[in-house]
Amino acid sequence: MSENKKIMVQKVNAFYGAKQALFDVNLHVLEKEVTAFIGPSGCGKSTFLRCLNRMNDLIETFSMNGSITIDGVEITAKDLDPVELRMKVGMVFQKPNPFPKSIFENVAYGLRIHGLTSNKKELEEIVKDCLERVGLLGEIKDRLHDSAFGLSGGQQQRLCIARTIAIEPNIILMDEPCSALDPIATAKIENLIGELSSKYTIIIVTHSMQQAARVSKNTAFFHLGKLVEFGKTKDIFSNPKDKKTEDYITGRIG
Amino acid sequence: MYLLIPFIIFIGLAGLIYYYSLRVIRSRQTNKISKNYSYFAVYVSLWTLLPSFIIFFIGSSFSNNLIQKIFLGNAFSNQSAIVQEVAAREVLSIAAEIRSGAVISDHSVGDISNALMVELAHQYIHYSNLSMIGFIAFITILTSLTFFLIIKKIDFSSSFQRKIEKFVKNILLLFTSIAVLTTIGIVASLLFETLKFFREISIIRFLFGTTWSPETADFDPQNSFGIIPLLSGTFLIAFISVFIASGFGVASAIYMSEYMSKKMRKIIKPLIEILAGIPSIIYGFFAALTFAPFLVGFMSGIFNLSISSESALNAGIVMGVMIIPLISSISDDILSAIPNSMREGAMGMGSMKNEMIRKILLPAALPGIIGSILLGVSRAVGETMIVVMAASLAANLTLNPLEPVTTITTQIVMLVQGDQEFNSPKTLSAFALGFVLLILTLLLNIIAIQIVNRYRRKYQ
Amino acid sequence: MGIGHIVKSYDNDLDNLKKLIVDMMETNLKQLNLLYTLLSAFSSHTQEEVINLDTAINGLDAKIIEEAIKIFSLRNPVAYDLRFVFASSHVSKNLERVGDYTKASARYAANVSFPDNIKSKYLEILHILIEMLHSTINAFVNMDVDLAKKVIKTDDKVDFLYNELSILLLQKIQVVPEKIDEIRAYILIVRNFERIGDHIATCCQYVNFIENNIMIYN
Repeated sequence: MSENKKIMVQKVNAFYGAKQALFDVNLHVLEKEVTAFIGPSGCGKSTFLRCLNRMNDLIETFSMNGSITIDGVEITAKDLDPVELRMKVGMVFQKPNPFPKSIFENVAYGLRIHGLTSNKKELEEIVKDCLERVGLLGEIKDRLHDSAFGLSGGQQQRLCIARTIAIEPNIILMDEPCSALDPIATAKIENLIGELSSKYTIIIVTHSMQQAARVSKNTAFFHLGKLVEFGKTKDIFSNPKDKKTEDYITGRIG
Repeated sequence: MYLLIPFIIFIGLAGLIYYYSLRVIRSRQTNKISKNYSYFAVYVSLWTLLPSFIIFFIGSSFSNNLIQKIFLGNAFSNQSAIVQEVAAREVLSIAAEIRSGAVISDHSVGDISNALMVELAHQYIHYSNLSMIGFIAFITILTSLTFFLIIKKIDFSSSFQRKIEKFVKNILLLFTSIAVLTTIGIVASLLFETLKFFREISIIRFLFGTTWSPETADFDPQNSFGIIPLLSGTFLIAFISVFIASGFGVASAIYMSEYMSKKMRKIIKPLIEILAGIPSIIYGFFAALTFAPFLVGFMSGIFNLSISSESALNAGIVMGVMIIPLISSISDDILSAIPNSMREGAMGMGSMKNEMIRKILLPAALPGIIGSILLGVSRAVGETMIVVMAASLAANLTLNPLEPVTTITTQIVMLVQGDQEFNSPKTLSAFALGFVLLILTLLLNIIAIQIVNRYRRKYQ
Repeated sequence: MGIGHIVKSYDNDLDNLKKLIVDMMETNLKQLNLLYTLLSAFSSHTQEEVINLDTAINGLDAKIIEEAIKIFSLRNPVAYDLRFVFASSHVSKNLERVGDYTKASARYAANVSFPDNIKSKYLEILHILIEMLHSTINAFVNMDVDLAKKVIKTDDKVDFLYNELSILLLQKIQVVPEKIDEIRAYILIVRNFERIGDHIATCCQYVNFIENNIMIYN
């Protein structure tokens, strides 16, 4: 794997109104690797994740400074179109949130709005391919045109992943993708993350340290809005350098 | 005034019983938690006072009647029936004057002198006071008796909290059933009068007749009550108003729920809801006095169209303005009920905001929005004041919005205005119209609520 | 670690495991002390006691492994805790070997009668081993890395004495080949001592591993 730095983050501070949520975060994410963000609730890891595709723009009171570059392009620039950014940086959310449409239409949605294909046959092929890649096609082959709400939670989440990879992003952000799922569904998603990591740069926010340990190559530990430690996952979990990290992962501070 | 004394007595008795039962239970029970004591006392007080209370009020009203009948009946037995009645009423009013301490005016009736009347009034007061004292004594004895009976019989082991709970529940049930029964009563009486109407006029001719002219009812009743022109007028105006209201309403709902800042929304949404509370009569004279002349001028000036000042368009537009808040408020609720994760999902895919609204939010909210529009239709169909003031009285069968039309509600108002014979088909037809209106709005409401609810369930 | 876990019973589990290890070390210490008595003056009763203590040590080992497995499966230990539980199971295995070697030495002791000059050398090594184990207990209880490193150093001395003694004994075989069986027992005992020293030193390496995440080898 090349040691190519996909995302460079320098001195990022973020605010909700007057309340500072992130303090001087510096970090880099390597290409085609899985990076996990861990930390107690309210530590800023989700806020930081949402800085990476400018989802925080949707929150009125949010503001930030500092520099985030993806492939060398500054994404915090005012004139950058967040719509284009979000095509490149897909996102999977905590609660499975399929659109109130059929399974097929859910995956086709992104392809349609971005006009990625106009050919009906091609569209169908891409949709099926995406469903196949998330291991869903076999399970729902003859229910393609049924409502997505009929799927189980785990299937819905995999559908959301399929929907995201359909528009071929470079980076996939996952915000606690398994927190609403049972262990089997979680295992399937984790397996999927492993497979996807050969093609995409994946950043996952998780509350489960075991999950971070299982799926990620690099781990960043956030505490009270600060990036406390960032390094190889195996180092973080066997021999963390910072006392705070050690206390958190061994279950001594919440 | 003179009911105040028994009231004070009742309250005093209640207090006494409450404290006495508290003492009783404290002396008999030592192991129970003290919370139960007060429940016990309330329970005993309720059961002790309730029978006496009921007996007192039924009894005192009866006793007054009885005294009046026997005492006043005897006093004027030699007079004619009408004089007896008038004189009795006069005696009662003298009694009231005496009680209130006012100057006694002249109350002589026919050959019965005022002095005699005053004398009688004093006697009447005397007797009624006596009966009141007797009653109070009786009630006090009855109350004490029931109290000791209950205290003796009561089962101390039972949970009084639960019994009081049950009592309160039953009282609430009583009030609820009164409300429900009233509704049923209204529908029943409406139905009853409607059936009366259909005994005289054929239901087929009523439902499918194309002429509505109650003024000719005396010559040709069978062909004067055709509801079709009224229905067409009603729905024409309702359609125009809902067409306008749904456009503006849904648009403003989208703006409020998706674009407006939270702070603004907190101010604007209540304002719009206040708009919904403006009495429709105000819209009515706005429609009749301000908007109608403007519309006539506008249409003839711009499009060179001649338009009646009582046109369906005029009433419809103003009614539409009235319904906007209803539709926008419900649609806004429905849009806001869509979980944020849906918006984030769509935005995270790189949709533009308008794509997100058009392709995700609106399809998701559509059933709910349709429901809100149907509620608007039912409101428009049932609306009265605007159409009474702005629509015509002439029952034209037309779908041209520039022509004057009339509506069911307008006609009902016309039919029951002023003194009417309550058995003529003309008046009865108002009930039939009312019944049709009731069924129509009921159906629309049921469908609308069903749709709105089905939508709400989906995300829960 | 300064602060306790949020889950108090997790702390209890870890404390329990530590207590078992210390129990085991103390049993080993007792066994070595008895061996010292046995070598000073042979008695079959003491010999039996040393042999019986090994059974107790084996029991403790089984219990420690069971506890460690329980913590692994229920608590998913990471970082310091992971190293502690992992190291504990290894320390337990090492102590179990110490018990075995002590027992074997006691068995051989029945067949030998030491000449005084050799006996004092044996007792000297055994004394060092007892000191080492004693320090190891302290090092383990307090997670004292410096003390542990000192113990590891002391093991060099044991190795030196072992070499010295084994050369002496090998020479003896050439001088008096008819006593080969007895001398073989001498050699086996001293070899056991050398092994015991190694295992105790390994326990101390684990103390360092728990604290610093590295194993140091000589």
